[in-house]
Amino acid sequence: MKGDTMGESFNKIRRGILLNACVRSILYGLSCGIGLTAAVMLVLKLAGVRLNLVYYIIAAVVLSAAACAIWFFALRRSNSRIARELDESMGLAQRVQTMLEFDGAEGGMIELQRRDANERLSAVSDSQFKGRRIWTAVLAFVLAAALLVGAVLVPQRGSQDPFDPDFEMSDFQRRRLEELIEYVKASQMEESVKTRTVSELEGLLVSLESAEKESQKNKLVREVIKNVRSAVDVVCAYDDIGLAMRESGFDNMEMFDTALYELSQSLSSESLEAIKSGFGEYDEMEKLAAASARFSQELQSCLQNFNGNMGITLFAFISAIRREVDEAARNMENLIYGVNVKKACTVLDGIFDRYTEDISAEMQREMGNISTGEYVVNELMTIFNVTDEDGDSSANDGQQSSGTISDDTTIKRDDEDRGDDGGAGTGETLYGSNDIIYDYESKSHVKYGDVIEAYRKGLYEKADGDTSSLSDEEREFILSYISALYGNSKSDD
Amino acid sequence: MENTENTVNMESMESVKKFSEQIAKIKSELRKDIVGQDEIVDNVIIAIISGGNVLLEGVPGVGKTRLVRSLGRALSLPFSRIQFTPDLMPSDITGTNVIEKDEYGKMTSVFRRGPIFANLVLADEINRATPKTQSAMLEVMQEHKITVSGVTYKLEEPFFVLATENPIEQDGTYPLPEAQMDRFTFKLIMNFPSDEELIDIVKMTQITMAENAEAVIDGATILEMRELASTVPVIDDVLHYAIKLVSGTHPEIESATDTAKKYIKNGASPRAAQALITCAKIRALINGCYNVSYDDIDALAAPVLRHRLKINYTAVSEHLSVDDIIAMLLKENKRSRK
Repeated sequence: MKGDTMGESFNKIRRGILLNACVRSILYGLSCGIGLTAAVMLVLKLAGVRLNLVYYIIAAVVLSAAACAIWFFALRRSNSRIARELDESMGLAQRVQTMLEFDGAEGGMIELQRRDANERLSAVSDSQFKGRRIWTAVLAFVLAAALLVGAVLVPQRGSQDPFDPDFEMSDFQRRRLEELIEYVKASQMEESVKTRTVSELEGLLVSLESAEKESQKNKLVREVIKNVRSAVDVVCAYDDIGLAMRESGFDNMEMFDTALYELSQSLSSESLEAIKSGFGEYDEMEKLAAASARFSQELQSCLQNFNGNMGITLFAFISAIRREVDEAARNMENLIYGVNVKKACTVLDGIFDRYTEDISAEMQREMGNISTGEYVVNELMTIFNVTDEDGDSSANDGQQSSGTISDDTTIKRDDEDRGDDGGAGTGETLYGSNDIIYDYESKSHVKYGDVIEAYRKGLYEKADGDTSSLSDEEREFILSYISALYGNSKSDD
Repeated sequence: MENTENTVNMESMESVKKFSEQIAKIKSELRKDIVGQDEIVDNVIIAIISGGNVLLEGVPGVGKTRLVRSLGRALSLPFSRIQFTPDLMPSDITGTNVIEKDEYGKMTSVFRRGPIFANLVLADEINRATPKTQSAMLEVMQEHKITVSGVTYKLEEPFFVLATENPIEQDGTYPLPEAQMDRFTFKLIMNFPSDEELIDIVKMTQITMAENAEAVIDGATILEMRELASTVPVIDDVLHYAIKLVSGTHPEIESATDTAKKYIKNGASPRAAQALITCAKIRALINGCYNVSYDDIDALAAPVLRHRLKINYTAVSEHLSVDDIIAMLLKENKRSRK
């Protein structure tokens, strides 16, 4: 039988013990959380593993919270346990236990017992009962804090790269970087991209003057490469739309993608003609209408994923083509054109023809941005001997496809792949002939393929000619380099 | 409601106060005749209040009989003494039917009460009587009544048997049967007094050999004190502790202690547990505590258990006394405290 006859003395002590349990739980919990985290930090530091400080903080907070809860459940006391501990520690001869067990019971002797127990309890001070335990918790906390301080102060083993030589920008690198800046300024890039790219390169020039380690240099260069790619990406719509076309699985879309690329290269767009011819092969209006409608639908799907803010012009042109083809298809279904399939095809031809010139100009503008941006990236990698951060090392060998500007915006085309593999189908190596380079002789941007032969001949004559001042050993080295570089080129030597 | 509680409290406090005063008076009177032996005196008083019988053991001359006689005077109760001898017959204790002529000259059978018809009976040197005579004490000690020739006579309450015995190794003694031993609440050992105590004893008896104690308490008061003590609360933990102590003396049960398995032949009876709790309540009150504690149980374990345990040959061969075994049992049992 439980009543409400427990004295105020007992309730006061019980509240004190509960508070004491809370404080100790917090102290022990923090000790566990901090101590464990500090131990892990110490081990990882000594093992040479570097972890962000945030992870340690999160671990410490989570562990402390969990430990606090566990400690509280472990340290909390039931009334009977409190009574037992009071009796034991204060020598009260089971007075408190008896008072608790007969709480609410009636009887003269019970009342006397209760009064006696309360009188004894009122003489008990909190410090007599629990003071020592608080200090144990404080001591644990201090030890954990000391461990944490130790772990923080211990130097990170292997904190520096195993091979991180000093860096000082050479005159050659400085001159090449300045030339690259001039190249960009003189390029056909859009002004917004050009301004940002130049700004990035000039900033790099300044930053590298103060760089002391290779790792710092690499970090700065990679940052600029990333920013240049980002600047180019935002003005190009073809990256998204073209990729969607290539992945559509619809022949006409893939051909349309190829047609766009041909237009960007000022090539005669055979793919576009093929699409038109394809439409012309239908001998019934319904079939042509269905084919046109599907073309429109597929094109709509490709356009849906375009989220760019820039490159909206190309997007608008292609959207206009889609709308008009869609309208033409509906007109065909409505037999507005009667049964004259040829007339309907003429309408389709007209739609494509009407936008061909604008799309060609827009694609060339985008490609100009892409190729210039990629040139900047390749030059930076070459000048500062930096590999692509994402592991794409192809930039270093001068064979980078003209369509590649970044991993997620790769315009890697089948016909380019064939060319990179050694000119499959022609038996010739193209040497990245679609790359745009700055020609110091003509002071203009030219295709690498157009001038490569002249460069080779000039270099060969200077190295191997009678007027050469090179030693035999130097000449032999340069000739072997030319031979290795150009391979089975169309040299006439 | 509060007034009622206060009234109850006042009454209880008065009763407890009276209880303490009576105890102090008894002790004071006994001190007039007994030197030292404080623990023995305390335990005898506890047994008297609980209504139990006491067996006092000690070598001749340590004051066993004097203690009982002095107690008889202090309690102001009808007192009788039976000197147990080998030729003592049961009827010498209980009484017997005799044929008498009534006033009309008619022969009638009349029951002549024996010395057992008293409130306080001193069974002096009880182990000198034969087992047959000792058995005559069984019914009277447990049930406080006597049956003679098919007629049962109830004894007046309170009734106590205070027996003395000489160590069993002495000549001319008979061991008390287990059934009779179990009817003694306490077996108290009176040790030989120290030199200082012996000096006081000699000085005291030079004046007079007679007991000096005076009557300070009557039978009704003892019954009231017994009633009051029975209301002292005992928590379950302490109760279980006492039960475990008693049950732990039985080597044949599963929960037996290691000590019991090794050294004890026969364990204590349930009467031991009853005696432990009853007497612990009185001890608590005497010590000014209103509840029974583990210490009360521990303090009374030896007097309650020592005559109820039968140790085996292993204990004898290791020169362990019953008290040694009880100390070991207590040590083991302390682990069961909650």
